[in-house]
Amino acid sequence: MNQSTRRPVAAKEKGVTVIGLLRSNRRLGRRPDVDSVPSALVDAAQWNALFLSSDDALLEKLEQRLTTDGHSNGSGIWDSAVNSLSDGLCVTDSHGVITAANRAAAAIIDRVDNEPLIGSNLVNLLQALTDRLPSNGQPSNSQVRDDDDNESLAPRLLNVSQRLVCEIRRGTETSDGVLRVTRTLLDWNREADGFVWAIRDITQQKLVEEVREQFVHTATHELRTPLGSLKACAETLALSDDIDLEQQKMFCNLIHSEATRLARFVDELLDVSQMEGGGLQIARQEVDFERLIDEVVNQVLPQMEQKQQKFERIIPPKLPRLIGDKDKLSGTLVNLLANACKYTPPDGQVTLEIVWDRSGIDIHVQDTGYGISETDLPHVFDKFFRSEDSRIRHSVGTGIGLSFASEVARLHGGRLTVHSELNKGSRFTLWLPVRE
Amino acid sequence: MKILIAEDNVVMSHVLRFNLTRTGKFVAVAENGAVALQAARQQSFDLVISDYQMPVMNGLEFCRRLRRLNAYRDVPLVLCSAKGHEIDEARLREELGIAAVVFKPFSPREITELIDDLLAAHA
Repeated sequence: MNQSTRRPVAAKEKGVTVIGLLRSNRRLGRRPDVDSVPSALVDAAQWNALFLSSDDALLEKLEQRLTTDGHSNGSGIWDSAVNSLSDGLCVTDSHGVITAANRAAAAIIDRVDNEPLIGSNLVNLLQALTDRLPSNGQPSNSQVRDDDDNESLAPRLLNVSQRLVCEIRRGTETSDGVLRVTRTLLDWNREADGFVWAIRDITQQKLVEEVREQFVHTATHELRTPLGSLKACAETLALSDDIDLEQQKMFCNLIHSEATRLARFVDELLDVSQMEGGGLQIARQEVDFERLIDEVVNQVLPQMEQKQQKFERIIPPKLPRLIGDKDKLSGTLVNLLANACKYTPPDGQVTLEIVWDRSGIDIHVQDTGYGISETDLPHVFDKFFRSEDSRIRHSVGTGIGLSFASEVARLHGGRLTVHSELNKGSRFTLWLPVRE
Repeated sequence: MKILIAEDNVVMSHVLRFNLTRTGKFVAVAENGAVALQAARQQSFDLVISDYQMPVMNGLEFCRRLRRLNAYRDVPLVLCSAKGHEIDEARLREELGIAAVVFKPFSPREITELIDDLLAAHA
């Protein structure tokens, strides 16, 4: 008895049915009622099923019951159970011809024609799915690692090794995806009679992995760049005996602005973990908006001066009272202004304009920068989204800032909107309600 | 001795410029490869330091184009790169005659010593 399969107990009755007891690494839901099972399992002719369990004792009992039990009137419960699985399950002969399949298998395999699965060759069906991939080379999701290329699946999938796990790319009408195929040998009486296949659509999982990888990559860069600068500035200061006061001051200012950048990034990481772990919490406190604006501007002004950008503020003398989360609003505004600075070439202009009436306050951050293309525009508030625009691709960013900002706006009962024109600039508007 | 630095990170170019100036070099800074290439055409430099990742024209492209200029066929080239960007140092040395690849974060003292060594060897 090998690790993954037990001696199957069942009949090849009325031509097709394969029933087996499989030792599984996973538990399938609740521990079943032993007494209700065997009759169902034995009723091979009516439905096709596999009983999976990681419980050896349970399998032993079932096996005994199966061999002694006679006939049954069938039971829909196992049929339903197998059909409720979101993973596709198939049983094939050693050539890949399907003798049993659950509902999910039919959905995942997504046949072009509506031929029934039973009797079709699974390997050919999988092959057809990979053949539907865009012919012009790699699909967009190029991170996918293949065990091999997809040229021909048959030799790979039908070899007789005990267990095989592989990922194959799948093309559909609209997109491409990844399937993880796990195949186990079905050895009746120690002879390879066929295979049991579990097919899982892991496209989403792959995308998440990809995004996470990218995030770690950019996060590393975001941490390392200011750290490198801090190290270089500090060492320069420490090693120079003859450095004059003016230069000392310059290096101290650099250290200060790099440390600020680092601190902001750490805050951003905190925002990510809050957003991931069940959502942001918003404090409700009275916010002195005039002071908030001053603090925010002081944070971003050095960056703009470094890039020799013009900064203009158009702010009315009196601002309304606001209830909200001071730190998160500050983070949001710093983010909008820092973005405006980052994505505007030197000598450009950034404008902060505030307009308000009795219902709400509009905070506009306008720049004369690169602008955002029409294709990118709908995605700028998506988490982890990074534009492929060559002018900004080199710049580092996590793709968190704007999704965080729009979430903060939403939680304040407000909204964040954007207007942008390529090569002309962008205008982000944060609207917040004012409560009298 | 005249040194050209192509570096988009203002802090790093400040630090480099300061340390190299202190050891008696003339230093020109360009914010990307394209600007640096223009500077290299206008005046001559004895050594060029370039960052790898830069906007508009990256370090690799800059080095390639620089080598095509007669005056820069064998001027020592130093390429700076962040760790984790897998660059094929051997290939760069062969293809572009890169004298050294320096990984960030680097120590200002190490890099000034390296520059002095390269200039002495090239003289």
